[in-house]
Amino acid sequence: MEISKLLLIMVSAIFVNNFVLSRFLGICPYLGVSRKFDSALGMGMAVTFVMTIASFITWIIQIILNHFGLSDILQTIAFILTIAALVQFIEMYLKKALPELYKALGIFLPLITTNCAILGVTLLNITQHYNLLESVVFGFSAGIGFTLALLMMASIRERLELAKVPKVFQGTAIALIIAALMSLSFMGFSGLIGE
Amino acid sequence: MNTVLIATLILVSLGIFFAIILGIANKLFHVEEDPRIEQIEEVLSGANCGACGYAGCTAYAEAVVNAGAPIDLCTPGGEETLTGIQKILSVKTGGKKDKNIAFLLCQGDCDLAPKKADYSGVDTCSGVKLVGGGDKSCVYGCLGYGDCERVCPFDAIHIGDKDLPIVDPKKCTGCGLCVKACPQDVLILQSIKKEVLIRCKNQEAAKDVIKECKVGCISCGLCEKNCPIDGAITIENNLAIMHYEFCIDCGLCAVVCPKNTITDKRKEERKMPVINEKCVGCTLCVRVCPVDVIAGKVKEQHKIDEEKCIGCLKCYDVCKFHAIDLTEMRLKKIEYYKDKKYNKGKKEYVNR
Repeated sequence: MEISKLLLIMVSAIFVNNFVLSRFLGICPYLGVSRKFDSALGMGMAVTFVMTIASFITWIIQIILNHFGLSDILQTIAFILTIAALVQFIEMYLKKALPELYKALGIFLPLITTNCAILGVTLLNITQHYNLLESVVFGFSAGIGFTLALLMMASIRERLELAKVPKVFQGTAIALIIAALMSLSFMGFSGLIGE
Repeated sequence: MNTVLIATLILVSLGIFFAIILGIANKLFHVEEDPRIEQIEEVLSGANCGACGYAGCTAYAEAVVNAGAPIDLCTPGGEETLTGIQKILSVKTGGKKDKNIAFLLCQGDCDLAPKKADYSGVDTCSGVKLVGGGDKSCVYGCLGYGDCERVCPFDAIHIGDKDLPIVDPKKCTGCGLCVKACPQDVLILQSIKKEVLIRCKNQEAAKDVIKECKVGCISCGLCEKNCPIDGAITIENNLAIMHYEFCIDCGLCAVVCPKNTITDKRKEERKMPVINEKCVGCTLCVRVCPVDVIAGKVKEQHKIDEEKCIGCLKCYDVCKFHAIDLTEMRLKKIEYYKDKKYNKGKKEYVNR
């Protein structure tokens, strides 16, 4: 029962309610960092990493806020503060302990600080009334879904480099059209699982 | 009122809590790094162009500090970066010469060099080249599909109206990425002050070149014969080749070239110099003259030998007293050098 619910959360976060393509969160890196496959992978890894840990920490913060009965008014600002501090902490830790991973993630780690997808995950965790394990799984799968969307976009845009695009569509215009088409196709998953 | 107080307290305590955690983490996870690396990175151009041969500016800054890499490798940064690094490392090296920029050695635009086929494939020069050596009749010339434009990180090279790339000398930093990207090898790096260039790479026989391009080199040899410097221009494989280390930028070859293959930035400007009475006899022009035709002693008015002067204007550029007038048209051919080529002991000529 428990495992099947977790699987459901995973499938839901990766495909049905994909953060980028269905919920339209984290559009900025989706368009900004999807030019090259390598950097898209780096960004995806960093987001997944932070989302998972942020889900864990904010769930605990939420309990504290609930205790004081202040979760309605302090939730957003407390979560923003937590995420920012968390990213900073992770960056310091990686630099010391795992310099290779730190180099691989590079500039993307600090970029995540103000990523709305992360805040979205933590707030959704609360509204969906997930328990601690479910929250972490949801955060992880949301990151995987984000990475998936980013990698698909990057693969298409890399091939686009060699295509003859009409002048009016070149650059951001064609990227937005592709994003729209991808979103359209992901809408096909809706109805696979009830909310 | 109570809620407000508690909310503020919670937020403040959260802030303090994270601040303490981060403060401890900063001490705990502190990585010793040479502060000079960061300083050097700041004075580098930050373009990450790779012209230095390292993987980006950070890698180069590390190499300078840790591995003792040469400090004058940052081409885009130029003089400013060099002096900046010198200050940080407190070392001294000689000043840097004029910056290099990219030049295109082809003039065969869409009007002058006809196409032999219509191409509709992958929209890059390297793509076109794979199909029968390109869609131009001339297989040596610039293809004009903009591989150089795409690779330039400084927005300094663009394909112009006539399908040939145009370099913006102000923006070009001489990083050489376009030179590497060009599949036709028609781009070179030369000093920004370079004036005379042979702009053709076609090695075919003259009768074929004439069909393929209106400004192609037909290897007539007039430039080689008229060049006052021995070995500055040679004819190899049906093509006139300029040897940049000897060329003095006098522009004689550009005057005699029948196909206008050789271009001279100052072609119209070059006239015969005559020294007037303002001359104070500083001998600067005597020293700078590449063919030694200026006679004069210190504090006496100098004189230029009109029959032997090639009109390169080196003396005109160097004179600080406005003592040199440009009067008559320069000679079309200079008989004097036909049998006696000049070369100051095969010294490399430095553009001034």
